[in-house]
Amino acid sequence: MKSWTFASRFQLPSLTPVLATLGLCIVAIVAVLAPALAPFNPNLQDISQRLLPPLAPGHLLGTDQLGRDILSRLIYGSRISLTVGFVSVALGSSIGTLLGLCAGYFGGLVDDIIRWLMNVFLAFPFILLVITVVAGFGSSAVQLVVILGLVSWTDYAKVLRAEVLSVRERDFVTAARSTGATNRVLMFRHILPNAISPLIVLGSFDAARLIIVAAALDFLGLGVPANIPSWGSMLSDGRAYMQVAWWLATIPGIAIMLIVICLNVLGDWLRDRTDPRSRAVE
Amino acid sequence: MSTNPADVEKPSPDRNVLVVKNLSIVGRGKNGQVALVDQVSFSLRAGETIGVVGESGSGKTMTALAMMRLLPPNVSISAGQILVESEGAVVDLVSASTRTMRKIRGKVLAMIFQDPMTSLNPVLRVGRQILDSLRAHQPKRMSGAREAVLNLMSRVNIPVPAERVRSFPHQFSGGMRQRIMIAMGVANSPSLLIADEPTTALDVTVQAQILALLREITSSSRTATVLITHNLGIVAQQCSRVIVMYVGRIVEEGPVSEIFQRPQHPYTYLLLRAMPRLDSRRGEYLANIPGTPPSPATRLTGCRFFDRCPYRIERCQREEPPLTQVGAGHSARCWVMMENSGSMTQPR
Repeated sequence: MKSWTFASRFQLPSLTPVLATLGLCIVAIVAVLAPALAPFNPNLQDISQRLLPPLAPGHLLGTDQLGRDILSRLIYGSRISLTVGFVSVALGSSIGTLLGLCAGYFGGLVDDIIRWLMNVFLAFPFILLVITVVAGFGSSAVQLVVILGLVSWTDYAKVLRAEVLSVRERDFVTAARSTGATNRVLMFRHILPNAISPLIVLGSFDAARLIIVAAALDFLGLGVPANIPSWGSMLSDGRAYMQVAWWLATIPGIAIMLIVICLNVLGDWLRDRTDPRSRAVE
Repeated sequence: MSTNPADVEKPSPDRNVLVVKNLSIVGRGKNGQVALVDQVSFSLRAGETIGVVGESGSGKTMTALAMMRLLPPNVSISAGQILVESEGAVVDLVSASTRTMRKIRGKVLAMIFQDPMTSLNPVLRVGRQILDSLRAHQPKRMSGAREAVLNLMSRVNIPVPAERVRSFPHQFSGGMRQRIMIAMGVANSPSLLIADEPTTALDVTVQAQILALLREITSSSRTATVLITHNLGIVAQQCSRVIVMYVGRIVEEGPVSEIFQRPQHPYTYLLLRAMPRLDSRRGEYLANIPGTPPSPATRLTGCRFFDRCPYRIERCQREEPPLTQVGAGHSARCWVMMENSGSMTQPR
């Protein structure tokens, strides 16, 4: 037991989550201001300047096999990574929240149908789904985001359903029901706000996971089209030149690693904050 | 509202706001069905306060939850009727649809729960919660909502409502939260208020304030009240009639003065004797009733109080006594009493 002091009450979070948040903010600013920050057009080719190493004059991070400026491509590539990370998570968590809430609240047949649907999505091979969609509709950034959102909702639904099952039995829900509250009010005003905190944690980890998945899809050529610079496709292109130009694959790899670490650190911190069991004894 | 002609046939006599007839509640457990409440009947007139007393497990809370149709999932009403008047028609709550129940909760019946610490949503401001319960039975666009909320808050004696309206539940004490619960309960002026041990979780001085508030609010609006408690002192001060329950059965019911002066059932008598008194001598032990109530799961043939009754006779084990009238509105369920021709002589 620690005695109550001003300092303990308003303790600043430790340094790592602050750094992680700062890192993510920088990436977000870079993505938004990409046209202003990038020194070159990311698709501008200059064969005479190909495979320049980092710190070459004019090209801070060097150039790739077609003479495109790697820094500019990295800056533009952050757009795809962030979009995939956040829009897919938003999409997946919205679907998952709605279905998980319904499953947990109504139970019975609704629950059975939603859980059946979850099992279908979990059982379906993800890569096969992507190949099918890309084969059928071609590839675009929008499609990538939608697919990732559609396959990630199950985790949210599972976690929220379990949480709703416990929250709906709490006294204040019964009390609200006794005043004549409708299902909609009970679900969205009383149960959801009290059940949602694990999803925030899940979302931060999921964003990291989806960024890696998106990079992997780019690497396999199933992601965004080639004219849009992305970290995954940079990695894939650079692979062929590993022995002559190590920086082609290394630089986007480091970028992916850093953003994923930032998200995971943030997720860890959020989990410790919201889960009373893992909170240190105060 | 009710389209079932069987319901409409039964008019509520003498302006009864609530008639409970032969209500039985069963719980489904591992070993089959267990009768939690067995053929309970009572009625309530406008403005009347009835006390329901009994030990834990006597079925008093289950009776209250059944009236709100908020029984836990593994507990259900197996028989009986709960008749209330809603929008000019008599509705049987046992057979009412979910939709009808939604309209009745808060509007015709309202409930105040035992623990105000857990009965308010921790993430919503109290003003919002009062407004929500108000709006559950009002048109979508409600004018003067803020005034109505402030009004309710001052009716339940919350100081400076205009400031407290934006507070969160954790910023309130237990007594204040129970006031908020009462404000939510009476927001739509229900004709019946069910208070399930409303002061058990509060300390004694706050108890008195909350009970005074309940009295004031229900008497000014002629709201009938079912007050569930295990505190006979509260019954004496708050109620006009009292029902004593024991293991799912009504064992005695009658006007408060009758019950307190001439208790006819040994259980009631022993309960009254177990109450701490101001005039008891220092060092004197408080009387108690030896033993514990039987589990509702055990099937009993005779009187349910047989095991613990100091006055038991042989007949008590064989058959269960019927609820017999012993005075004006006073009835009890005891063979000994009946064999003494309707009057219990209390042995010391």
